[in-house]
Amino acid sequence: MKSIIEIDGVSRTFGGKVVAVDNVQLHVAEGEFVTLLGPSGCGKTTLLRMLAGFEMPDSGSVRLDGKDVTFLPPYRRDVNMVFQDYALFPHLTAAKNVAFGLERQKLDRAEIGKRVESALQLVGLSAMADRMPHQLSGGQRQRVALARAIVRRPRVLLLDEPLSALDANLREAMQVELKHLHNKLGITFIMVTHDQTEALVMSDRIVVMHRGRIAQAGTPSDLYDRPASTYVASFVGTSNIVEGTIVSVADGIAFERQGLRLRCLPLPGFSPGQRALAAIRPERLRIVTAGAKEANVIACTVEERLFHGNSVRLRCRLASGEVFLCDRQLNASRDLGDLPDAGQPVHFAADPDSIALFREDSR
Amino acid sequence: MKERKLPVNYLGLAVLSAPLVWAIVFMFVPYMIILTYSFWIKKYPTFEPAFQFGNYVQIFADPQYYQVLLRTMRIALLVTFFSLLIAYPFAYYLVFKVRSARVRLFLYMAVILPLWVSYLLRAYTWKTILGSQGVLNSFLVWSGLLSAPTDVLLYNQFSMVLTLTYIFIPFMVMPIYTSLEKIPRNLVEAASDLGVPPLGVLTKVIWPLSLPGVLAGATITFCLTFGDFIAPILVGGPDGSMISNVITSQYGTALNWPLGSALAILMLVIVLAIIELSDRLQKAERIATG
Repeated sequence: MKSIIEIDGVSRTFGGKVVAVDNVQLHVAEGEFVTLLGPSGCGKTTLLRMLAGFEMPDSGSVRLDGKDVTFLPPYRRDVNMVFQDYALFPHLTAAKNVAFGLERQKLDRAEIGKRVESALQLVGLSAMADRMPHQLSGGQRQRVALARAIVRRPRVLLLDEPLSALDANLREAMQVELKHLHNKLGITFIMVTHDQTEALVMSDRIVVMHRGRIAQAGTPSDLYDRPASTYVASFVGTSNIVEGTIVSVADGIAFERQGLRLRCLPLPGFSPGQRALAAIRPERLRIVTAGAKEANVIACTVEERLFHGNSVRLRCRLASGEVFLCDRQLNASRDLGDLPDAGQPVHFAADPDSIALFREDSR
Repeated sequence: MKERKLPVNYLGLAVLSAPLVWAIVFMFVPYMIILTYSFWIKKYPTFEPAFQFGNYVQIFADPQYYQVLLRTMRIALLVTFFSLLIAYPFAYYLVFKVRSARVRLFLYMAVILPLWVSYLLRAYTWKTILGSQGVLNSFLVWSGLLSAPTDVLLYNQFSMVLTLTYIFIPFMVMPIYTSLEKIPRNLVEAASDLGVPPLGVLTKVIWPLSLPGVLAGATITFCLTFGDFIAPILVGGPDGSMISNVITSQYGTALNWPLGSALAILMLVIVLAIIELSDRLQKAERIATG
């Protein structure tokens, strides 16, 4: 598919010291929903701002629809942004906010009115057209910001943590709504977030960033099931990570950590004696009896039993000292009876295909 | 909203009593005396108590008085206008263009610092710059632009507007700077993102959002200029005298306290009206933007 955005070798350093974005290479296909995910300070916002034109890269190039826009000011780019705190003009009504970007284009009044109306309708805010921003709720302001950004029919819509200021319920509803909007408009969405759930739910592709670099880019299920590093494994979803040594690579890999021996699937690039990290998702663990005939039995002591409503999380500790988490979905009978209490020993079974192995330097 | 009735707060009264007594003795009472005088009648060589509006009528009937009033207003408006013309771009430059916080502070202080220098001194300085033996004339003659010193620079309305603009410009810069600084940067970015070039961002976003500061600065500058009487004495000349000078002379050489009082009361009313108007505009602005 055709690339609408081509970011090539882009770097940006602030104040000559802090490297915000470090040699990033990213191509985005037309119509894709791409999320830049990472903790604060990972460079995701700087990258987005370079797409918008608020920051210029020190090196590298940004192309939009084949045209070099690296040093083009924001007002001459065919992209629009939804700002984190919406950045609505406080002196203008909702409708005037939406019309703001159209008044520069050579459109007659009737056309502007029509497009403002349809944009507000698209976000379900027609009734609020004449309200001032301070008369709107957080969710409504967010919708105005959205309408204002899409009314100019940009090639790319940039979203800077668009849902972070909303409360939990509204955020979940807006996640779905934004996804629908993306399908309806068919334009490219680039979103920045630090919320992994948001990224997993909404994106076609997630770009996980770490210290200004791309740690991994892939579909949500790629990232979740085949993380490229322990960093990705623990940032996208939760992982139990154990540090140990490879003891054998014949017939699958055997990994050992102070009496804990794990059999994993065969994987190239490992040799006996090497230090390695094993990652296991908490929901892939099964509770078994002490002497069960399983490939990998992990013995722990329960420290806490945390009730999450639809699931229970056991916070345990390995003999070697690491914290080990196990999530148990609650079934229809919602029976907690067979779950061990705090202080009791517990045994987990982990299938070889549920264990991801990483070389020590992959952190 | 209904006002809540507070019980008599004796401690509050005790704390407030000193400033209250001060305000009554040195403000309220003198104002009342002036107000009373303004209804009296001048009977040479002194004045007699009366209750009539002759003094006020005289102000509006005699061109000598209402023309000074109009001139004072015109000068105040000109000073306000030129102060705004210089202060706004300066404050805009400080807030939006200067990146280093230290340079910004330095430039800001450079404008504010003259306030620490005596007003009299600052006004007098312009006399030495603009006078026929002054710095500017010496320079113009030296550079050959003029063959002989000119006296058009001093003792007229030009020199007054120039001096007063110089003196009151910090009062214009301060509120504008504050209101510009309060504008969130992402509004500027949002406007730019929506395809509006820098000039449009200034006229459509920054200017409307800085209006409260402009209004405050204009009000202070206008009122301060309106009541000024030092600059006319130092650099004003015969056609540069303002309403305060007329009032002074009514209490002095002209010996017509009732007329002077009427002029003073009129001036007070004008200034209060302007402050009230400015206040209402500010409130309307606040309601509009929340």
